[in-house]
Order: sequence, then structure tokens, then C-alpha cells
Amino acid sequence: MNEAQAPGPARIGRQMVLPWRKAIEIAIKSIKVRFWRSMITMSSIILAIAFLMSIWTSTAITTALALGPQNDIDSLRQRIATVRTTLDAAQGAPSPQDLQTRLASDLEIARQHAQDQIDEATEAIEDATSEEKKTLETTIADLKARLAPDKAVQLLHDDLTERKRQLELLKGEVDAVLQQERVAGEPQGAAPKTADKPAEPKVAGGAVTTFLSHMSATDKWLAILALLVCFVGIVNAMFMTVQERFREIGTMKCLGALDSFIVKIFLIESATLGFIGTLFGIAVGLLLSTIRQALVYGTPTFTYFPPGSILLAVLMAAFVGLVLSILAALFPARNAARMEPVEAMRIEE
Amino acid sequence: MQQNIVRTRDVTKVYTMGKVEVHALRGVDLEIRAGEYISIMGPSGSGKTTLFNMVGGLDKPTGGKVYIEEVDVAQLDAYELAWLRCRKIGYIFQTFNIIPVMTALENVTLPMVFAGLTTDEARDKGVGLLERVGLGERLSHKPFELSGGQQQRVAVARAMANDPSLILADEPTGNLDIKTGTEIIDLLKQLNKERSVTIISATHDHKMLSASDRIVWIRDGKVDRIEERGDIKIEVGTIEGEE
Repeated sequence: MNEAQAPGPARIGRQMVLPWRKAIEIAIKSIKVRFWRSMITMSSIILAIAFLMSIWTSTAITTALALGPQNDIDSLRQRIATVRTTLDAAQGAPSPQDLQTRLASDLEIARQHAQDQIDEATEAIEDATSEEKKTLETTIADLKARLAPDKAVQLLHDDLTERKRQLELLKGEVDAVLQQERVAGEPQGAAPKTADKPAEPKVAGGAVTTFLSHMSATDKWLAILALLVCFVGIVNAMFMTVQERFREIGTMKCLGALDSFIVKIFLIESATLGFIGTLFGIAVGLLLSTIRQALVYGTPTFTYFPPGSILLAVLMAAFVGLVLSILAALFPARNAARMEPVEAMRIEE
Repeated sequence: MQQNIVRTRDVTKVYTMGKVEVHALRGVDLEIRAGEYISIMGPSGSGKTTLFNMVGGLDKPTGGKVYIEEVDVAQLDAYELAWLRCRKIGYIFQTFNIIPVMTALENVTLPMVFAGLTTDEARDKGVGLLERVGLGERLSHKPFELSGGQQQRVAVARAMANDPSLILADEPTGNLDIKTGTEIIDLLKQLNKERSVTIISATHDHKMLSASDRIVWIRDGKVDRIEERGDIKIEVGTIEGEE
């Protein structure tokens, strides 16, 4: 077919931009036909992310295990201190005025407790069955009777007895936890106690800020190193996949593919592999690491499992995996697509 | 009068390799008429491939102008260049360059995809082309299942995919034995006659001589001489000795 008859310059059209659908078609087909090669690339991503995830998970769990019991003990100790002050105050030898004041305040407390119970019962009546209603009404009447002025002494006595009982319970709990701590011993590996002293012992063990601020220097170094290794692994894998297809890219340009189309194809391929690979990597890393920690530390692993820190680790790993896979493929692909076809084809020689 | 399908004016190309400048082309003037079968010949390093890349829109000259159908190639933007490569020009390479993971049919229909044909249209046309080059039985074969000659035929079929006015063949017989090489040259000649498609080939292969209408000899980045086919037949002995 020949336009030689018309004199003057030929009319040159513009190559239309092919839709994403076409790019997706070609990209998915590329992955399918190069299935095993794609699997190798994806396994690089899986491994890199699994490694990253397992380091971060181990660190999170270890940190939580080191901090958790400590935080529990600390909050228990606080409660003991509060109650002890009250008890001491109650047990010391007071002056008549002191006694008067203290009796008055204790009575007020006792009255408040009784009133609270009445309120509770009143609320409960709304949802109660007719049988329960009867019991609750009896309780309320009983409590109201005790609030009568002539029954003050009885009320006070009962209240103080109850508070003493609760204190005994608390003491029991504290002893149990101290016992547990002795049994579990110091966590192996990088313990935070040696390096950083907890600045806020009152914060709950699952909080994200605790994880990041209480990682020891060794842990931080390890986490960063894991990130670097992961980075290099993924970048290397993706660079290679583009490199080995330079000639193909040059050929496609000769067939009329636009630069952007070629980039789109590689974008979709790398995003697909990156997404699936990252997903698997996170799952594998998380699972293996948790199992390992559970085998070493036993059930406290799950008692003190830090959901916040783990979630943060998952999100960060997902971000790293996906973004890195895409960028690591995108840059070389973009460069290859922008070359003149001859350059791209020459490189592979 | 026949139009020039490719015209170059004082084309130069300089490659910079580090500190060294290589003058691959030192001012080439060439006019190629539509419907011709022209061969560019010359020793390695003569600038033959470089000139070939220039006239094919595969590379940009450092100086001078290249006109394809009277359109200055340097003025074209990326979209227009892509259109040109898709619709006007077909390429054949020494290393075949067919995509290894696609079947023969898929390779042939790929340029049609870029040209916007529907899958059915592309398929029908692709089958027709493959049958024309003698590979009607091997539509779903992958490149590794095809011999060198067959791969090159797929490349020829692919080059014809969008009915181009120009086919550029870079050493099409370079990786083929004598018999297969001859077959390819014959195929190109047939297409040249049947479909009036201009064929420009850069080659070492002297079998190409009798098929060509004209031969451009390149030496040291400049045109040494241009010969018509009529001239060659008489001087066959001399040519063999010149290389």
C-alpha cells in the first residue's frame, strides 16, 4: 500500500493511547507466560517482606513481654499504695477531733457506696425479669433502710469490713504476680532494662508509642537492618526483571508502543507481584515469628501480645513491600521506554 | 514522477563514548524512491547500521535531516513517531526480535493491537499474513519451537502487519544459513513486487545483490557509490573481490 501519488509531506497521525484494560491484559498475560520467572521474582519479595515482618514482630513481642508484666505490677502497686494510705489512716491512733472528722468522712464514703448500690439496682430493675425484680426491690429496700441515721454505725462497720476484705484480695493478687515474675525470669535476647529505662511505666503494654520508644538500641538497629536487606532484595529482583526484557521493550517501541504504555505494563506487573508477594510475606513473617516467640516464652506471648505495635508493623511492611516493588520496577522500565529503540536493543548484546 | 519515500540531507551522527567521539556518519545524502528494493552495504564499522537506524526513525541524527515521506523526522513528537513506527514502517532484525513468550500469531497481531484493530480483525489478518509467509501450520507455536528461518518469517509477517509503506531489514539473513537466507530474500522480493512496499535492507549478504534495485555502498560514514542492479550483473566478479 503506497501513498506515493500525492506530492508533499504525508499526513502523520498520532498514536492513540491504549486503554488501561489493554495494558492489564498484556501485563497479566506476561506474568502467566513467564510464570516461573514471575514466581521467582515474587518469592524474592515474599522472602524480603517475611524477613522484615519477622524481625519487627519478634521485637514487638519481646518488648511487650518485657514491659507488660512490669506495667501490670506498677499499676497494682499504685492501687496498693492508695489503699494502704487509707488503711494506715484508719489504723493510726487518732485524736478525738481526728476521729470525729475521719468517722464523718468514712461514713460519707459508706453512704456513697450504699447509694451507688441502690442506683445500680435501680438501673438493673429496668431489664430484670419479674422474679429478679422482686429480689432487687428487696435489696433496694434493705439498702435504703441502712441509710437511716440510727443505722449509721452499722453501715460504717459493714463498709470498713468490706474495704478490708478487698485490700486482702489485692495483696493476694500482688503476691501472685510477683511470683509469676520470678518464674518467667528475665526475657532472653535484647532486654530493654539494660539499655533504656521506661520513661512512662504507666502506659499499657499494647500502645504503639511504647513499642517505638522502648525498643532497645540493638532492636532498633536490627529493625533498620532488616529494612535495608528487604530493600536491596526487592530492588535487585525488580531491576533484573526489567533488564532481561530490554530488547523486548525496544522491539515493542518499534511496533508502535508508546513509552507510557510500556511503563504501564511494567507498573501493573510489578504491582501485582508486589501486592501478592507482600501479602504472603507479611502472613509468613508474622506467623513464623509469633510461633517462635510462643515456643520460647510460652503463653505470656499471647497475654501480652501487642496488637497496636503489630498492626503498625503490618502496615509499614505492606507499604514498604508494595511501594518498593512498584518503584524498583518503574524506574528502570521508564528509562528503557524512553531510550531510542536501538539503544534498548543494543544493551542486551 | 515517483515520490521519495526516504530522503536524507547531510546526515551526521556522532557517538560519544566517554572522552572519545566516534563519527559514525559524516554527511550522507540519499534519496530512496517508493517501491524500490534498496540495499545498504558496507564493511562493519562503515556506518551502515547507523544510516539504517536514521532512515528507519530508530535513532535521531546529530546533524542534517531525515525525511520520511517528506516529513522531517526530527520534528515529530513521541506520539507521532510511535504512529509512524506502527503504521508506516515495518522492522526486521538480524536477531529476529520476536517476543519469546508469545506465539507466532500473537507476535504478528501485536502491532495490530497498537493500531487499534479489534481482536477478531487482528486475528484474521494475522492468520492471512502467516499463511502468506508459509507458516499457516504454526500459528500457535512459540519462538523456541521454530527454526531461525521460521522465526524470521514470523518477523516478516509482523513487519507487514499494518500494511506499511516501508520495510526496514537489518541484516535479515545474518543469522541464517544460505538456503534459508535465500528464502527470506525471495520472500521480501515477492512482497516488494506484490504489495509495492519499499524495502531498505542493511546487509553484508551478497545474495541480496540480485534482488536489489539499487545498492548503496557505505564506507567510513559516507556514501562510496550507488549502483543500479543493471550495473552489478555485469561486474559480478569484481564485487566479490572488493570486500
